[in-house]
Amino acid sequence: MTHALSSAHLATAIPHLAATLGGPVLKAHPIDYVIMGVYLVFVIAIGVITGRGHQTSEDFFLSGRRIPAWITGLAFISANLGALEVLGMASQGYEYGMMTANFYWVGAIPAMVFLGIFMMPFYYGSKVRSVPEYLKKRYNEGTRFINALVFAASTPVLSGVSMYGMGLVFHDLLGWNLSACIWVSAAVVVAYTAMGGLTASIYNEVLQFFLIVLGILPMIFIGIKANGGWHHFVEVIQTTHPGYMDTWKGTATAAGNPMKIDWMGLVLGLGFVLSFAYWCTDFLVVQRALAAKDMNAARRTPLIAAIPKMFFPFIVILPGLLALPLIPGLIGGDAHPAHSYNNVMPLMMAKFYPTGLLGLGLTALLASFMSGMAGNITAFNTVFTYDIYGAYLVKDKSDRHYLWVGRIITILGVILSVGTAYWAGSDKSIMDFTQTIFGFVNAPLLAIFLMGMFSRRTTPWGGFWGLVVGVLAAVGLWACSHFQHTLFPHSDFLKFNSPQAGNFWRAFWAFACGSAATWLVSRVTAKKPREGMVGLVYQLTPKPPEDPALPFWKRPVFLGIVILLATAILNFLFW
Amino acid sequence: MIDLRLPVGIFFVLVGAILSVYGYFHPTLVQGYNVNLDWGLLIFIFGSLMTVFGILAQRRPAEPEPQPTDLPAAKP
Repeated sequence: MTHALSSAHLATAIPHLAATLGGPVLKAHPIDYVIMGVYLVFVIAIGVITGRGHQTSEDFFLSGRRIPAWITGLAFISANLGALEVLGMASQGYEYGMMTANFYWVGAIPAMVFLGIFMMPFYYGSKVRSVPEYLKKRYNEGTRFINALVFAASTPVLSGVSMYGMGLVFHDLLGWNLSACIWVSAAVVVAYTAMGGLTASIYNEVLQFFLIVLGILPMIFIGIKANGGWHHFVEVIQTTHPGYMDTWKGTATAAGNPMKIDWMGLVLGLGFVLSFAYWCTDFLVVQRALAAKDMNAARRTPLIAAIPKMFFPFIVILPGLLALPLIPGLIGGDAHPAHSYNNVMPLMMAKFYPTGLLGLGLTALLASFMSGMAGNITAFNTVFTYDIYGAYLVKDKSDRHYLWVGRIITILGVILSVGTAYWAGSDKSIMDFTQTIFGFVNAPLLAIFLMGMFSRRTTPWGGFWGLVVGVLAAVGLWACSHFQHTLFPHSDFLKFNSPQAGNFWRAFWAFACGSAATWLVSRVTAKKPREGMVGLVYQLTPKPPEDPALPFWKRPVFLGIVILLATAILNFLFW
Repeated sequence: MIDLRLPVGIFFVLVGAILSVYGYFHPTLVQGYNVNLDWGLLIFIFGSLMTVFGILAQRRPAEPEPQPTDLPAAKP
């Protein structure tokens, strides 16, 4: 749905903002800066405290594998919840309505339950230190190399792109200097990740989790009140934006819903491929579970994460929906920052948060931005040090050597991110293209993970070629649709109704190509010997022993069933 | 290693105190509520609870380091 409204119309539609056009939309006062300052002091202090007594490289990269499950669980959610995701979810709430919740209720939750119950025994049980290392054990050196390379290239780029995006928001809305935003946040992130490693990152992610919840919840209460109560709000939306309160109702056909995608694209593309690929194979999140103190804690990490995650649509998507009647007429594309639905979350803060609460809201955004970046950096330094530097460049040095290299790589990762931030600032399309490409480059990885973990017939070269073909297919599909006008000027081939529909289907086809290549090559190449696959493949691995003293509510299968039932109820309530 | 509840708790005690004191002296009504005071107090209570639980956990005798290969000891 496009809102073709003139600028003059907008100014009358948003009298609150009309006065501020030209100057910064948000005005922060000293008290707001005090709250942000307190946060920065705590972040660095956590880095200093957690950095004491790192003896081995595993202390630095995997927190010595001794973090309790509730902490790794909350960090598991936060690591993925960068500021661009928070802003993006609210803006999609404004653009597509409640259907955006499918990212959570069809996508993330089932994938997280699957990771905890079925995949974690192999990740944690095989004692690997990273996702590429699992691929080396299950397949071969080449498979690890490709995955490590793609991952090590994507993390600093993604964190740089999000650094630029976030700097732009603070620049556009608060009038801050863009370069200062980039360098200050980079310096803070370096300070705590280079000192405290993964533990500092995880601790700050938990702090961020509470900040996001406590910083955005008031907006929900105020927004519902300003809309005349929940029932009145739902009635208004159903008259002005039919279908915006539904998740499934209009998905029989692509034309029947705001996201322009049918239920099959939703289930296969988003639910199955995109979400499973991200949540089950992305080292950024898996690393949090590897830091857990034992197998049970590792398996419960994504399950504990799923419980608050279920309700996150009400914190990150609902503000966008609440804004539909309160700040009408926001548009996408090249709109002025004060008229763009990409900024709907900060615009809601501008409208309803007084000085003081505004500081808390901005700190929540700042926190999610920094910890999103730190998450990328801690995942990058681990993969780079173990799977590229230690595996190919400088082998067989002392553990102490790799610990120190890890700290230096951390600084290097942040410098690469800053470089990417300026690169993204030099050309507008870079942001779209990196986010699109890295959005589905994981899809073929899911293919070789599922076929490798659950079938012993899959051969090392099958996995290798599955990954290669899948990644090439993903990039090729993106290129075809990006250059469609020049390549196929007269054809509707690869044309999708909305960018989201395109992402879902491309992910599905990249997955399908990867699976087909894995299967075909596995028919004609030699299998791995049986004993080499114990602990890596489902059929050849003894089940993890269940501790009889463990209370039932701490058992992964019980937790998983409860979570899936609760998610089904949420789907039903917002059908 | 420090119990995470301590730094998180102390942070929110501080932020809650700043917000509620500011809201008490500079009341700004949003939809009829003095949001800085009300929300500040709520955050303050949340932070205090976290801090108390953190202190209690620090005082408990340290658990033996769990060995990943061992089964956890049976509950008494």
